[in-house]
Amino acid sequence: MTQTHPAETAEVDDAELIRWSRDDPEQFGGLFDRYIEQIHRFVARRLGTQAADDIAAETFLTAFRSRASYDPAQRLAGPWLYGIATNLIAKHRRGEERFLRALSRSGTSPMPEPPMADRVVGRVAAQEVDRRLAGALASMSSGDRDVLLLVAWGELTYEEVAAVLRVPIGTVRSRLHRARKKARIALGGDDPTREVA
Amino acid sequence: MDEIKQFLGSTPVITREAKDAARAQLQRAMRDPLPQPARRRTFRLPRLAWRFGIAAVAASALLVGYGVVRGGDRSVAYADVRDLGERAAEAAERHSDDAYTRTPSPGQWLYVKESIAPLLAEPRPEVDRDRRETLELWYSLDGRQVAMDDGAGKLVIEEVSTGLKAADLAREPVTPDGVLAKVKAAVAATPASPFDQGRSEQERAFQTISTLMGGQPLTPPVRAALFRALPKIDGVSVKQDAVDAAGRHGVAFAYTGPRERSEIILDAEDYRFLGLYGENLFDQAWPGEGMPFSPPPGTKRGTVKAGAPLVWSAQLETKVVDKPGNLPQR
Repeated sequence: MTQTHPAETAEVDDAELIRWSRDDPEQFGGLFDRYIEQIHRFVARRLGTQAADDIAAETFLTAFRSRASYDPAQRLAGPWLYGIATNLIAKHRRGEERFLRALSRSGTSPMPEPPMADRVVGRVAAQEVDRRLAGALASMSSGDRDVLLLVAWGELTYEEVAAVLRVPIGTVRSRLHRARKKARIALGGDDPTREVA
Repeated sequence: MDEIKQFLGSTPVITREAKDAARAQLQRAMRDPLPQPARRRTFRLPRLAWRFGIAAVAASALLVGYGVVRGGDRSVAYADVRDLGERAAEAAERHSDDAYTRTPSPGQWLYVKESIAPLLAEPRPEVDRDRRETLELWYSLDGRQVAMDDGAGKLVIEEVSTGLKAADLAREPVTPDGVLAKVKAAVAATPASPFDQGRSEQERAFQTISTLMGGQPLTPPVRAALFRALPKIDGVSVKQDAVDAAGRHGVAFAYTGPRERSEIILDAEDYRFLGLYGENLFDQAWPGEGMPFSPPPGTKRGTVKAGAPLVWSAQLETKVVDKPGNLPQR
């Protein structure tokens, strides 16, 4: 991306970059460079790498189009981008559930990307814990799964999840509780989302 | 140890090619700022028409794909949209299905059975990802009319504006530049519908081709020429994995406009037409400036969210029949 603003963008927070980009669209490239890898990885873990290529690109396009509505009080744009990505993932949730169920069975993946799917299936076959987790994730409602994975993989706080999914924080807590319970049962009692000090 | 955090943790990072493609898409959006909203047009569309969702109604030429091409390329990774266009064109050219070679009589109709995501809450434009309705439609091969059940067992025929039909495209010589010129000439000659407000010539050309692909018997040379013409439209890209409303995975030609993104979804093996998908690109007030119709008085205002689907369809069956209401012989 061409950086035309005189300031060093490495020292500028995301909110400022987005503010600049309103007048100078090229500045949005700085946000792309900061987040493309983690957003892509988040989507790839849920839907596979090929779908992630499209959805990660769409995430930044959507973010760019709606940058005027960005809340400048949020200095870091990560949660905002994860929220957009999660909304875009929503239309693939049946595919995600098929993918997870295939993983949980260690069978063949329905995802149209044999290299990634075979590799993952092979790895999962060797790891009973992961197979159980895949089954648990597949059996959750999409809302519960969204909350769990935004917290676990996106490292969003409860408040950030509530903001990006536009649900009350109490809903975030109850969804996370349900999701953790399912994961715990799948693993035979251990809470897989509990942080170990 | 946090098993959830580690789950699928070895997923590879984005490739350089994918990152470059995403960056290029973003840069294109940076260079092409949103057009100023058009002045709002106020009129009501027939209630029935809303069953199609916006994109289908926006089509000026109601033409649908026909039959099935067998065999061909099984790989699904495309270097770019030109690669997709070329491979799809080659598949179209080497087909041997006689469904494409019979010439229908001008007075005939094309029966189309499709599954669509219905509107979420009429009259809002979003469709419901989680529900499906089956529609049976009959398109006149002169491109002027479409017939459908009115929901109460009565067949109604709607007039549609037409700029182009299969026979026009099949006139020799049939070349990618030639068919694209005909499409653009038809777009230029057809007044912009309310749904076309704010759409560029490129976007309207893409929409016209999408309805041609899905809507009228097209000969192999015409299909091949259209596949090769699509990459010539600025803003058209390849979507490696697209899903139609029946859950079938395929590959898509995608056009990203200022307000919505549209996909022509094809089978990744034989490149037959599978369906359409379109979605809203960013949060927009509803009803808003530039939107094509005003809702009834008292309608609650709201926002059409980024990512909301606006059309999602899957073509299940097509057959040329003698008159509207006729079903294919089983």
